[in-house]
Amino acid sequence: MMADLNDSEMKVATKLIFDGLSMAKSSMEQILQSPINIEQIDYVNAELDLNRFGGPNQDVHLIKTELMGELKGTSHLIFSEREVAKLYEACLPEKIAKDDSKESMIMKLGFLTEIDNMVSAAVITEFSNFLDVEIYGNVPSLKVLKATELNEFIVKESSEFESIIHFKAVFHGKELDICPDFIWVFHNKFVDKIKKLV
Amino acid sequence: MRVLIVDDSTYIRSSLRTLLGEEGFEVVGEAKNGEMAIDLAMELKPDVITLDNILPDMTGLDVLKTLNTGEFDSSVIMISAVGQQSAIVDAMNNGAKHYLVKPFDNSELIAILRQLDEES
Repeated sequence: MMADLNDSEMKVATKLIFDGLSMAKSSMEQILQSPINIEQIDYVNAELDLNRFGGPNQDVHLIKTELMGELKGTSHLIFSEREVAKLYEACLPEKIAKDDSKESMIMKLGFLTEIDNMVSAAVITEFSNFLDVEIYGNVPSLKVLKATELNEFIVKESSEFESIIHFKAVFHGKELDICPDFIWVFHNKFVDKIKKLV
Repeated sequence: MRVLIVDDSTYIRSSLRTLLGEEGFEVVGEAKNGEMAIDLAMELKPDVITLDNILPDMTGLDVLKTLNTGEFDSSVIMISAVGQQSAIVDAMNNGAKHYLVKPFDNSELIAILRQLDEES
């Protein structure tokens, strides 16, 4: 756990996480062609505020990337139903954004997974280069959950690792009016790697 | 110039097909996994392959290594979200001409294709 790190190790870990998230922010800005801020970074497994999803029965789009290689973990990029609609409208050609045919739906969902693919990869690249570990993200997968199922899903995902590191960012795209959550769960080996570096 | 697009994402394949078509390049095929990429590369013999690095069945690097064992002279542009220095070096050491990290500017890809076209 992050609590196992001493002050200087913690400084390195938080800087690395911040740098990784900053790269993710830049990637998201480039994909969405709109400014994005990192509104908040947490290092604990705090429950997500479900109010932002517009109600407990609203659909939530969760895109998961599994980390492969020397470090195990998963990332989760989470958009509300309303945010997804805004992204489609802002970023996809009108004929796709407004069409509900199977082909257009495939394109829309592909667009969402590509956002996650690039944003997660930005963090992974930063960590891989800094920690000198061979890691990469697997092909991302999309799940549509009810808002009420979200926290339980994240807890279940976390339970796959014996000892875990959490960090969570809330991005904010003011122009697009979106606030996606970006949650990472790492195996505790992350801490060992940081300790070796310091 | 004849281009084969390899990416597991329908969205990316479609976006690249549209972009390249608008810029006057001929997209001769699309592959969504490594096995399909190898088959199409051998069959179609494109001038250029845009190759994603993370595919469902193998890595783009594996595809590149397999193609290098046969008669293969297409130029390969790796296009991937994987941006680690080691991945880039591995790809270039195995014959990739360029490595673009997603997200990238479309103009960058077009400039590379035009440059390859001039060199051929």
